[in-house]
Amino acid sequence: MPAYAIEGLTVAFAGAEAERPALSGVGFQVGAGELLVVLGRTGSGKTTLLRVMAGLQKAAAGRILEDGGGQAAPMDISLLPPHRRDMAMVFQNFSLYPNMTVRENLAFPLRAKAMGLSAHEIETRVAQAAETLALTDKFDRRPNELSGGELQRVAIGRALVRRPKLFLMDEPLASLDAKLRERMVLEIRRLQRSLGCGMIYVTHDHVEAMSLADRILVLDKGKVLQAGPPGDIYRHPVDSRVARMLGRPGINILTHEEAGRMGLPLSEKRLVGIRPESWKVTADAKGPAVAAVVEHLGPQMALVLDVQGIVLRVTAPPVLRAKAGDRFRLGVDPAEILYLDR
Amino acid sequence: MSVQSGSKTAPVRAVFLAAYAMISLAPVCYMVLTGFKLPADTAALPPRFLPGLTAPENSFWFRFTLGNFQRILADAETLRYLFNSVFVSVCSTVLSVAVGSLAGYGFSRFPFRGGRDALFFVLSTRMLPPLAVAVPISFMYSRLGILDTRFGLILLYTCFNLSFTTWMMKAFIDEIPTAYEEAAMLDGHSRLEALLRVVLPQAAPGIAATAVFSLISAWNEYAFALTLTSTDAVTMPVRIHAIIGDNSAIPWGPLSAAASLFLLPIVFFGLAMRKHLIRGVTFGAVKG
Repeated sequence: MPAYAIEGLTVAFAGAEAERPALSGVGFQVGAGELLVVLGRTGSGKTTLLRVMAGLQKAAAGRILEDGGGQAAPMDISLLPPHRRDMAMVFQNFSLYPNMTVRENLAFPLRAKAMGLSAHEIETRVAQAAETLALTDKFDRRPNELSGGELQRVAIGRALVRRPKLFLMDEPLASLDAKLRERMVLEIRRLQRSLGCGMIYVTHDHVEAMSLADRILVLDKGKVLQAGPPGDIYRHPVDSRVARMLGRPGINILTHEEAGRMGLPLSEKRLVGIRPESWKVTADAKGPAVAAVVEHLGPQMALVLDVQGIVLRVTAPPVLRAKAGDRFRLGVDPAEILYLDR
Repeated sequence: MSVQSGSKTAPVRAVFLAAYAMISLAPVCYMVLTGFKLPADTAALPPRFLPGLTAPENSFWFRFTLGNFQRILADAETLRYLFNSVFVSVCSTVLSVAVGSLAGYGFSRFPFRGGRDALFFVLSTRMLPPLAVAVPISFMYSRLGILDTRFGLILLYTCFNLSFTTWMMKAFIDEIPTAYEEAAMLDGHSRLEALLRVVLPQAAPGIAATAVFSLISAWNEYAFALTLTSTDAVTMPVRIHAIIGDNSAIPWGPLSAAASLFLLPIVFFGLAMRKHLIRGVTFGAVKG
């Protein structure tokens, strides 16, 4: 079996929002050493999912099965308190202990009774983690003397010193600037690979999701919409909600009628989805598409085209010289058209 | 209140504060001085407040003597009562702050049906005047055989102070985000360990403030001490009252000396805790 199998997790909201559960019947698996990204908008239930995994919140129904190893039967850990689960979590706001230095923060998980480590071992492991994350010179600082990126690294360090079986990451990069975020994504990927542990990484950022994930789990309003490798989800989204979540500029979703008007091949399904990069754009003074907006993004150009009242987002190689008001002809490979029910 | 340097109101404030300090400290200073006086000087008019070797008629000078303090300090009974006061106050403070912290944490983190009512009930134990319950309690203590014991007083003061240590600690712990203890639990620590190693260290200023109030209330308690003790467990407030005696001439010198000695420990404790008291509730918030 996979390292973890989650079955039918249901969590009710407390109080006024009780009409809709925070999670309803969520099921998925995490393989050993797999990096699973949970992608969802604010309020989709992704943080709740992580808290239930960690044991910080109780599920009304469902099981969390952990592989017992070897021939042992899988064990339902959903009733274990957080400290009895072999998991570490990096919180969105870091939650470093303000009354402790960086060194003490890193050593804190190792001081847990269950670890049974000697002072010397603790020191070695803390030094190792600090080395990996380039924190050695910040050892005696307190969290309020660190920058956002440093806080982030300490938080990750604190999670990894214990070498847990599963990492839980709750939008750990959300509060960092774009440049740092890009670097940390690579760093997290590298760390996770080298540790060979499983990871559930929660984010609302599709770029982060695509670049990190072995598999993506798309969550919306407490339900799993789709799960699979990033490429599969991108190419074969189950519906327009999933399709819209991945890719920037976003996918063009046309109704049956609009697609017909543009002369695209149709199917019996209600919606037609075409990714911006699927269009082949050719300059043509008599073409039906008029450029409304032209953006030069460097590696590519993003155009907003108007085709008889239908607004399309299209990307094109930068060799195409275009300015607003230019006319174009559009083509698309039928194999790249997505037909969606809803 | 902070005096802002450079602002126009600063001198006015300084004068106001100095005047206020003098008004409030004057009786205390006069009490301490009276502790160094001979009986003839204590009730003299005009008041004598300058210590000297001789005391001329109609002057502000009094004859300085250490006799009162020597008498008090040489009196084994008074010293034992002073020790009783220290022992009972410290033990009951430690206990009531410890239990109050646990209770406050529980009320803060585990809201339950009727929790607010329970909290109010806890407070209501403080609404009765002590003397109204002193007699029944003394009967109970008598049956339990803990009348006139330090243990009995510690138990009573702990319970009595528990109401407001619970309330204060709840308020302080409410200010500490749950994120820290959640992190600690995911770092492999049980909830109790998380409380002891992460939550309470952050509540240190709150604990200090709570301890000061608890200590002062136990230190100054008179009604219960009077009814529940007779010889062994008598505390200083009762002793000081006994010094006044029932004859018409109040022995001002010994009385002031005893009161001054009684004042010292609590003043030192207050000074030691001052830093925390001023820091108050400005705990580190979760950054993010």
